[in-house]
Amino acid sequence: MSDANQKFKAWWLLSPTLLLYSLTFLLPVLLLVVMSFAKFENSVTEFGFYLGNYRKVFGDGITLLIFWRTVKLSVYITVACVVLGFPVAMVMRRAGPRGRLWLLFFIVSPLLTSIIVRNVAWVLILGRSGIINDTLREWGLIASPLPLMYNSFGVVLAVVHVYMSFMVLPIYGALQAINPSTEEAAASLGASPLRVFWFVTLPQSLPGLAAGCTLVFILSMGVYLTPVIMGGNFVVTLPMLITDVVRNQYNWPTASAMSLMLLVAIGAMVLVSSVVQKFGGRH
Amino acid sequence: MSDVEIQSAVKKYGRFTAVDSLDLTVSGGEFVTLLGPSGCGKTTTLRMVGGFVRPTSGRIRISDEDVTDKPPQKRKVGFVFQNYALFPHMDVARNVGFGLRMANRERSEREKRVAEILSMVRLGHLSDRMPSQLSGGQQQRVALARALIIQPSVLLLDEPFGALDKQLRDHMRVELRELQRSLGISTLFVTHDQDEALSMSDRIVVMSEGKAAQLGSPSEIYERPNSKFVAEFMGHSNIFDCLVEDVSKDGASISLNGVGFFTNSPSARKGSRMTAMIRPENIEFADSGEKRGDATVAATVAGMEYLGSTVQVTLSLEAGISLVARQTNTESATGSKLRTGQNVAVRIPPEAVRLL
Ligand SMILES: Nc1ncnc2c1ncn2[C@@H]1O[C@H](COP(=O)(O)OP(=O)(O)OP(=O)(O)O)[C@@H](O)[C@H]1O
Ligand SMILES: [Mg+2]
Repeated sequence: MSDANQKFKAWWLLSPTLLLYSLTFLLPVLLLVVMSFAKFENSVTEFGFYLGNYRKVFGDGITLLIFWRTVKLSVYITVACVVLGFPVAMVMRRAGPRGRLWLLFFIVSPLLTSIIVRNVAWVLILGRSGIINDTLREWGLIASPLPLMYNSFGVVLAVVHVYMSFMVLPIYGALQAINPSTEEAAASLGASPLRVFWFVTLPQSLPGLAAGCTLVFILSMGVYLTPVIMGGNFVVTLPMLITDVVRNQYNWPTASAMSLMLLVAIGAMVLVSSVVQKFGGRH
Repeated sequence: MSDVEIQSAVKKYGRFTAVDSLDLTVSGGEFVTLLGPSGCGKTTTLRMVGGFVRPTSGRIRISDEDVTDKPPQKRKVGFVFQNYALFPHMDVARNVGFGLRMANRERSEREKRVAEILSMVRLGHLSDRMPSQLSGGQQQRVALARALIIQPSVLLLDEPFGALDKQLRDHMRVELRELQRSLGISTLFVTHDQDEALSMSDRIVVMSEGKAAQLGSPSEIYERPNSKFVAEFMGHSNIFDCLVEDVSKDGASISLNGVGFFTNSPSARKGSRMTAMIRPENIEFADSGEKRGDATVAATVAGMEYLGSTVQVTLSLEAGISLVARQTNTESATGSKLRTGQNVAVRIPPEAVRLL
């Protein structure tokens, strides 16, 4: 059978997925685009080609600010996940089957708990009179409570906690695929353990790293409930703003324009990551 | 002055002993092969020299320096892995130049040396290919060049030709040996292929269950195996338990299940049970009709196997003894004209029988 034929066959297999995606993704996005050009005045939506929503989004100063804050938070979250998650993935690779299972359970466990329970627990730990602040005050180490939540720190911490597995698992997968002999070869050629990691392990794990970053970044850009609870009204993110515009102002057109902004940012991230996955790691 | 010295090295994994007090010295550009069946501890031994496995006891010395406690990066050994272990994210030139880069050599020097060594392994034209774009033999040569560029005190190769087809394997044997000779680098080579070991080595260590069963030159190992295990592993087919019936000045008579043979093997002790090995290529077929008295044995041809340049004849003797004879496949050779089921007389000269 020719290559072309096989490609055709492979595409066929995607058709149920494609159908599902066009119904649940492409169609809504199309609606979003149409809606973002509609005019909303006196609680009446009028379809057409009206640029006012975009003018507002880019011009009112506040939306763009919140957008950048959301990007910044997502970057913090992604970086924190890399810094904390890479070592975990390395340990998982070296661990025996039992240790690996425990680590896996430990990393995935936040996903198994209800989002409300998890965040209430964070409040009990990080809040003004949470476990940490109470303990430190009792020991006389601090006079007034440390600001551990209702700020970016709290949001980043809580989101990193949930999304860690989306970073660890792809990295672990990539590490698992590395032939350990390549690392041994590097060592016998005079590379110290640090240089083995830098020149051999890390470049070979880049596809997993890029996949993990993409997942965590995308998820972080859209995370809603955790910042609401952990940040209160002090850390407003774009999803929170969009929700507010829809829920309190019933302004679907402006919310659509904002959503598309989010979508484009995510699309850009996916593009960058796929380029990294394709060409990254080459020395 | 020795390049590698393994001093009663032991490696235990839990209760299991993978390598059992092994001693070996390699020096002066020698090519030494560790030969043995799967699981006998060849790789473990090599990895102990490379620094990837710590011996449970014993010492490893490289260039007369005790390196037992040193990590691989401080040992200056060239290690070629079975699956080559090229860096998949680096092109050929970067793979080969890696060792120099780790030694912080100048770029210009690196490029010059890489070009030199690549032309030495005849890969100059492929320096910007990625490993995935190379054939098995080419990858093999890159791995070799990468290991050699650091000018190691010793070259360690773990079944480097395992993944290559027969023709390429034969070709690479010659190529590696020539390269190794011209560089004069002491080499420790691992294989489980006795032909490979015989054709390449200055000395062979036959290993069995972590121990050195025999150490010697290829001809010593092949012609004078010191045990049944070595004889069998070297591919000898006619190995029998026998009883030494009588020993005289010029030889001994032995009995295999009552069938008598005469041997000039020196190690015979009267009345003892020993292992006899009969070399297939020394068995002669008496021409039909010709009778040479007690020197011939009656046999039936049980099977013929055509092997190209030779013909292997399985003979069935009395007392249930099955003997393999090998004849050069020429027009005139008697053995090549035999047919299964035919009755023949075979002559087994005393020098064909060795007692182990
Ligand atoms: N990390 C390990 N843990 C436990 N046992 C091991 C380990 N490495 C090797 N062994 C055991 O030690 C013995 C020798 O292994 P080794 O790899 O040296 O064999 P080998 O002679 O190279 O065999 P092969 O020809 O199959 O490569 C084997 O029985 C193997 O199961
Ligand atoms: Mg092995």
